[in-house]
Amino acid sequence: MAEGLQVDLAARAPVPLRAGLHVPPGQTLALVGPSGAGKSSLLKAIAGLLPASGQVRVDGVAWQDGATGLPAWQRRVGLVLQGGGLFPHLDALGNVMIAQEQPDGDVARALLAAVQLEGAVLQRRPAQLSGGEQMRVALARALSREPAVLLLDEPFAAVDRPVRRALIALVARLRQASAAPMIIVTHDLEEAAGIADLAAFMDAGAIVESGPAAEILSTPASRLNRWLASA
Amino acid sequence: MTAADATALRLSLLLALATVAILLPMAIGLGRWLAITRWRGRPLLEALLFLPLLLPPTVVGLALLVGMGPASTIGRLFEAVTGGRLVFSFAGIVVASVLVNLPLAMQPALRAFEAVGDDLRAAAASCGLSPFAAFRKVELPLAWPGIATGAVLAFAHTLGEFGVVLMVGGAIPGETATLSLAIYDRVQAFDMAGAGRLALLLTAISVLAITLLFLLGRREGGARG
Repeated sequence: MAEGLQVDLAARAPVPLRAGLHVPPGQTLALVGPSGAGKSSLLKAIAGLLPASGQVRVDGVAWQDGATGLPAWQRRVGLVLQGGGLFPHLDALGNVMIAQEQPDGDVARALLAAVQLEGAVLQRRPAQLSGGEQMRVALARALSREPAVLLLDEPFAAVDRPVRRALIALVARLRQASAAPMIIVTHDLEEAAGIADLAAFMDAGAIVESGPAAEILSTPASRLNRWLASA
Repeated sequence: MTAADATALRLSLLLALATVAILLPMAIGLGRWLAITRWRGRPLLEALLFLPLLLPPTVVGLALLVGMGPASTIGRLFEAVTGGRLVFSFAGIVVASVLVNLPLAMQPALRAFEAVGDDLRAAAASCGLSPFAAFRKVELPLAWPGIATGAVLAFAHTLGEFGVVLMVGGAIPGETATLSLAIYDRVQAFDMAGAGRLALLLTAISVLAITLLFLLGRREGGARG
C-alpha cells in the first residue's frame, strides 16, 4: 500500500512535541516555523533518533507504534543534518560508501556524479571541501541507501545564496528520480517554494497549519505569513 | 648494565605493557560509556576514577596494601585461586598500576569519544550502521588518537612509577623491583654513576614514548582536519 509517510508523534525532550503530518509518495513537505519550534526534533523523532511515542508509518509499514519502534539504524531514512554531518575521517567517496548496504565504489561514484562531484574531489575529506560540496556529499550519502523517506534539516543554511540556489535546483532535480516522501526543514520561504509541494507551519512543538505549499507560503492570510508579518 | 639492572628493565617494560594491555579495553569501555551516558552520577564516578592520580602514592599504596592484603577478600580470593599472595607479587603491582593509571588512560579516551558528538552518532545510525558497526567504523577511528594518547601516557607513567610499586610490591628482586626502584637502590648505595645510567635509560624510553604521543597528536589533527 503506497501511502507515503504518516506521522503522529509525541516527545518530551528536547522540546515538548505533539505533531501529526502526512506526506504522500513523491511529494515534498517544507516544514517552517520559528527557532525552537521543534522542527529538527520532529525529524529526529521520525528517524528514530529521539525517544518518542505515537505512530510513524511508511508505505503502510509501522516504524513506530506506541512507545515501541524500530531502532534508528533499521529505519530506511536518508537524513541530511544541519552542516552535513559528514564523517571527518573519511573522504567524500568513503562518506557515501559507508551508507551502502553492499559497498560499491562505482555506484557511489555515480551518486556523487549525480550531485556534480567528480574527479579528485572524491578523495578529499570534509574539512577540505567547501560548504556546498559538503552538502552535495551529504545528499549523495542520503540517497545511497535508497531511502523510504528523505529528511533534510536546514541543508542549505550554511552556504551562500548562489550556492543555495544551485543546491535547491539540484534537490528538485534529484527529487524527480525518487518516490520517497521528503520533509525539508527550512527558514527560507524562497527555498521552500522552490522545492515543496506541501508546507506545514510548526510552532511550540505542534503543527498549527498545513496544506499545499502555494497556499501556505504565498497566501497573506495564512498563519505562517501572519506570524512572519508580526515577527 | 648488570644482570640485576637488565632484570629490573625487563620487569619495568613487562609491567608497563601488561598495564596498558589491561587498561586499553577498560579505557575504551569506560570512556565511551561516560561520554554518552546521561546518568546523574557521572561527575561523582569521574571524580572517583580520577582520585588515584591526585592522592599521594603512599596513600594509594596503603589503601591497596590493605585492600589486596592476605586478610582482605580480594587477597584471600587470589590466594585460593593461585596459591600465592597478591601483595608483594608481580600480579599485585600490575593491579596497583592499572588502578593508578586508569585516569591517565581513560581521560583522553573519554574526551575523544565526547568529541565525536551526537550529530555524527545520529548520522551513523541514519546511514544504517548498527550500534556496533557505528562504534567500529565511526567512533573508534575518530577516538583512536585520544585512546592511543592515554595508552602512551599510562605506559610512560608506569615506567616511572615508584611509590605505589614500592608499597604494594616491596622491591623484591626479579619479582617487583622495577627500574625506578633500582635507581633508588643505587642512590642509597652511593652509586651515583650507576643510578645516572639507569636514569638515562628510563629518560630515553620516556622520550621515545612522548615522541610517539606527539606524532599521534599530529595524526589526530590530520584525521579531523
